Amino acid sequence: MLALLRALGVSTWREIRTLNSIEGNNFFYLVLLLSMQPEAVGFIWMVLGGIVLAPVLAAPFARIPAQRLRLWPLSRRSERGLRMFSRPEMQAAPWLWNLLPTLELRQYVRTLDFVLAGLMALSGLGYRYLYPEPQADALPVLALLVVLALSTLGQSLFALDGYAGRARWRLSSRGGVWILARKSLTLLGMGVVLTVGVEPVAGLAGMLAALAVGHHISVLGPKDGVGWRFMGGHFFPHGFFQVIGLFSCGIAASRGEWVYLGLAGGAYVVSLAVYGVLLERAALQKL
Amino acid sequence: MLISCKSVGIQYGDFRALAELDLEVREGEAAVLVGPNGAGKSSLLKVLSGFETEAAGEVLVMGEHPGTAKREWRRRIGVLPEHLGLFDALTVEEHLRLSADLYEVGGGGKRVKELLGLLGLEAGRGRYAAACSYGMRKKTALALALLHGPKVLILDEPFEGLDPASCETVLALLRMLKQRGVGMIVSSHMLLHVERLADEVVLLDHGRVVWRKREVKAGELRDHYLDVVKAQALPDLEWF
Repeated sequence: MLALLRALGVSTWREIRTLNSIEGNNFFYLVLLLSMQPEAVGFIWMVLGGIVLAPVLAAPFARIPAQRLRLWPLSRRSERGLRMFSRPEMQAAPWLWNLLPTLELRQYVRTLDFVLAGLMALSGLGYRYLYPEPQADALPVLALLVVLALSTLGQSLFALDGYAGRARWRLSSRGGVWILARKSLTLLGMGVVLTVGVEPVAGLAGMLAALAVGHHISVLGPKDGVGWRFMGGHFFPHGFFQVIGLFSCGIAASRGEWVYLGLAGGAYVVSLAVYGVLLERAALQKL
Repeated sequence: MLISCKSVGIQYGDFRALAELDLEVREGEAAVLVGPNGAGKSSLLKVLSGFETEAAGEVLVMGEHPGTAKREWRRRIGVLPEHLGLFDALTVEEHLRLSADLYEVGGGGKRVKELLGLLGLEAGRGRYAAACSYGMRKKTALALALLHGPKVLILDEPFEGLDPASCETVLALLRMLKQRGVGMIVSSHMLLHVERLADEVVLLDHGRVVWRKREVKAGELRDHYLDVVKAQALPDLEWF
């Protein structure tokens, strides 16, 4: 047992040291921004610390194969204790998964990006409907925080397929645009659903802009991702352009400047077409 | 000619995975690659599937180079990849339905039902791939290779991990497909099954062809295999 805990400790320390679960996530632009306000620092780091550290600390246990756990000569109590922490995603009600119709939905829902976006959406809804006098100007910003939380996923559309899953896309006879659209439209739909109760126009424009930029790195430089973690994207320059794009298009569109919504929509369609073709021509070989 | 390889070689840095391999597979034929682990079997299958594009020599599958073939080409080949290519978040049946969609198979539902029945996957159809036994995962991946009725099959160890009855089913299925004109290249360690399937056996070792023969007789392969690939001498092992 001691040897096992030592191995798990080493693994956890390596993970924390490399900040594997948080590197490159766009939400840290907000954290950096808010860190400049001393009164916000404590709260933000407490929330993010909890979200980030919980899965990192549980992850080594999750990596123990269930069969291996049965084979090791551990006491019943030790085994039971380890089993409690192992494979948290399996403990999440499987019937709930069955309700989600597509592969992509099931994958995206199992990320901390989605959990954070859900929390942001709930906060936005609470502010809009429960706060005595909500300010209209705040609603687009709240919707765009939801989009910001999802935006790194927009750079990581193939990350959760893993090597084996990506082999399946390579073998498909469908076109690259079809495959990319499948991934991208699911995330767009999730963003729209999460922001519709807060400020739908800002949410839609922001998601379109974030995905239009995100397709590039999703197709040409995908990173591997793991469930119940933040997606690791490219913080700069891709993440930076996503943040600029989603906030500028989202805020402008919410103020009735429809040209920005059209601009984001146009950029999304062009990006989908261009990177879909690139996916088919060359990038599928590298996925 | 369905598959044609001339002087195919693969080099990973200093390591030569495959060297100067020639191979041809016609309609209704099965070429089977045998050899120890790391001999180059999977590397060749990756080249033929289009996963590995850095190979030297000339490779044609259905008249096209796998690395540059158009997507219509993928509809004509069925691949059982080394790592099976399954998604943990999908059930067995959902994999088949997704694949029917990806290959635009008409009447996909009927076809899915047929393959689930044929490969004995009905009972576990609603089970997530991550929760399936290795044999079930292998059969699921095999069903995905067959679903769209390809003209060429590229199968990496289709028998390994299956129970004897399932092995017989898969063997009978592959022989039936041969009779229907499907050409296939298969890698396997199951020498008795290889003898019953192969029109040509190619024995690889350290990336080179060390023995090859058409129409291998029953029991012949094992002897040749162990003549060429010597089992490691067993040192005395301390036991507690």
